Amino acid sequence: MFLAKPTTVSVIKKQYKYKSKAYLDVYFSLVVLQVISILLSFAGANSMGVGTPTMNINITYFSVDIVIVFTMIWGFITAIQLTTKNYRNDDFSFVTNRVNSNISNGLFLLTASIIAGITAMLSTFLQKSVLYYIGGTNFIADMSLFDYAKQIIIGIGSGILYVLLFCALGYVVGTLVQLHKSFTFIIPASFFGILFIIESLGLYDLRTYLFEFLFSEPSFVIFTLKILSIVAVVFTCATLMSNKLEVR
Amino acid sequence: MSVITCKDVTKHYRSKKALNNLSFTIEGEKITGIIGRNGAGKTTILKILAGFLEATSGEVKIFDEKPFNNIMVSANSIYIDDQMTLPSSLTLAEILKTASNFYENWNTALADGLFNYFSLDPSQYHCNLSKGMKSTFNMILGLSSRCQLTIFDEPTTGMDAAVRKDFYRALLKDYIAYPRTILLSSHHLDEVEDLLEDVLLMKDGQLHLHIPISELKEYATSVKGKRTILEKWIRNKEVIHRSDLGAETTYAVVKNNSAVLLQLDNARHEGLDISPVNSSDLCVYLTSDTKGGIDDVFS
Amino acid sequence: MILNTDGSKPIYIQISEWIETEILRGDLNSDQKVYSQYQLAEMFNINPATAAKGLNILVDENIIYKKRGLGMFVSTTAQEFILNKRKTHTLQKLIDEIVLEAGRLNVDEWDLFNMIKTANKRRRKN
Repeated sequence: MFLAKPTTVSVIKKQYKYKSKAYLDVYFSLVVLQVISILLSFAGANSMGVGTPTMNINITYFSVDIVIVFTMIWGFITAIQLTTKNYRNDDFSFVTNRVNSNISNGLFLLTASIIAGITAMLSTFLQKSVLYYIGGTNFIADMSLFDYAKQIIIGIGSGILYVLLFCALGYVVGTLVQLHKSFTFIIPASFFGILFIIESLGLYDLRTYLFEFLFSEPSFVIFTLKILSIVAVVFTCATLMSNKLEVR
Repeated sequence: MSVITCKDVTKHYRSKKALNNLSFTIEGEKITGIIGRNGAGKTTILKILAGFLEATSGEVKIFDEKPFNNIMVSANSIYIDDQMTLPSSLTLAEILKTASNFYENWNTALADGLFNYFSLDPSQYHCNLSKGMKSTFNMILGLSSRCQLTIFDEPTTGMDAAVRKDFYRALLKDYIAYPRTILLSSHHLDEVEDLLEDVLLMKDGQLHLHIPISELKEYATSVKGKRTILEKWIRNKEVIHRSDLGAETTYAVVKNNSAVLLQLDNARHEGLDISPVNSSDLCVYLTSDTKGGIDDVFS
Repeated sequence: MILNTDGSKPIYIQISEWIETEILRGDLNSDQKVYSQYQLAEMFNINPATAAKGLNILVDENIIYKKRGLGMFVSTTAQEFILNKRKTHTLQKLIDEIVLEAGRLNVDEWDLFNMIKTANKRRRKN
């Protein structure tokens, strides 16, 4: 009897290759979402005007924050989608076990986050181009080219990390829902419940602390470590939880 | 090394017991038919063997390893049924390509040959196929993967008679070319019985019989004749099924043993009709809860 | 030949009887190679194990013999043996049944004999 003896690494590789091809749809929704959010960014720009009799200064803030936010939501939803029964069963139509399936999902989401993070940050160039060509705006560079490049790279890096963080959160939420349907209610209820408790007990310090912990870390290296360790913990939890999950 | 070993396997779904102390072993490269009524636990045990479900208690071994969460078992087994989900974003051709990447024994020539023979469209999507076409495509996956343990759970759902016949022939020819352990569950025992080497008959989550198909054909004898004579003759014999035909005549199926076989001539002399029982009827009788079948409801 | 699958006769017995008939008709001669279990399986669309069982009956009766690594061959005494077996078993059984049925229908020996004669005539004409 000839028995195939696959290694974990080879199976993960095959699963990853298969998923990169089979889940291409998610990038289509990403493009649509980012285009919509860029359009919204024009509409949602803040402007401020100062007027003197001789001069009129009008300041309009254009930001791609909204693109990042939309991309984060996209990551969250995409990750949930991967945990649903159909996607899980598809894996098991071929060769896999639960750990390999989760790891290849993680790798796919990492790839998706990188692509989504890059495109989200690059959308600032798209936004600037639109403003330049259509809006007739001139840009004044307020920093050296080197600093500017550094700024862009950090921007892309943090964009990727935020999307990855939301993918991980989506993945664990999706896994919980797969474990028991009641989590569909428990998770949003406890999320808003906690928000409500924070508000009503006046734990503003905690709120500020959480917000700063995630969104205002001055050191990029520490920020990266923070996010990556959260992601690692969350993914490991999801993998452990789904390791006994039956399929088909 | 036996391919499949099950010892006291029990499976609960919440409060329902789907399998109850099921034990059996399958050795060597045989085609075994898994036969039983709806709800007998066929699909449950097959999914446990494939590693999809985990037994609540008992021991399951495939190639000496526990199948649940096991990549070795996953790589050497394939489970085909009509609810098989395949990625909806890949075309049939891409699915075949993906499968060939996953299964080391994959036979591309066979896959392509069958694919063309059944005139499937390579650019079609699996979710858009008709029921019969889906089953046909799944069957191609099952055969071409040439897994050491190949499980077909009701593979012919929706196939028309011609395709079913072709499938059975393809299964047999490829089995001869590349012997492997094949489990085939089907409602149509009469269609598959010639293909089988062994039958595994299940009832209420338990094993009822596990014997070579040739023995199943010699398992029982049917007698038909005048009720008074017949009743005398079947006394002290194990009656599997009995039904009354009209006011005078009775039909009965008795389990064969040496005593029964010795008395067959004697029964003929008394004017009883003796004939063999066909396997699929026999399985219905063996797995029915009442001796008289549906007629008991109306009497 | 197409197998009779209504369950009246086990497939492996039908296989061995089919090979016997081939030998009787002279389609398979002494020391000629007999179909393998796999060839039979393909020809009749049956499990190879069932075909093997049919062949084994013939081996047990010395109608065919095994040559290690080469396959199965028709033994020299096969034709004679089959002829004898069919006469003493198959034909005898049929006659027993005819006699039994004739008894039920009150057909006497003489009438029965005449019926056989007529059947024979008809067969010769065809």
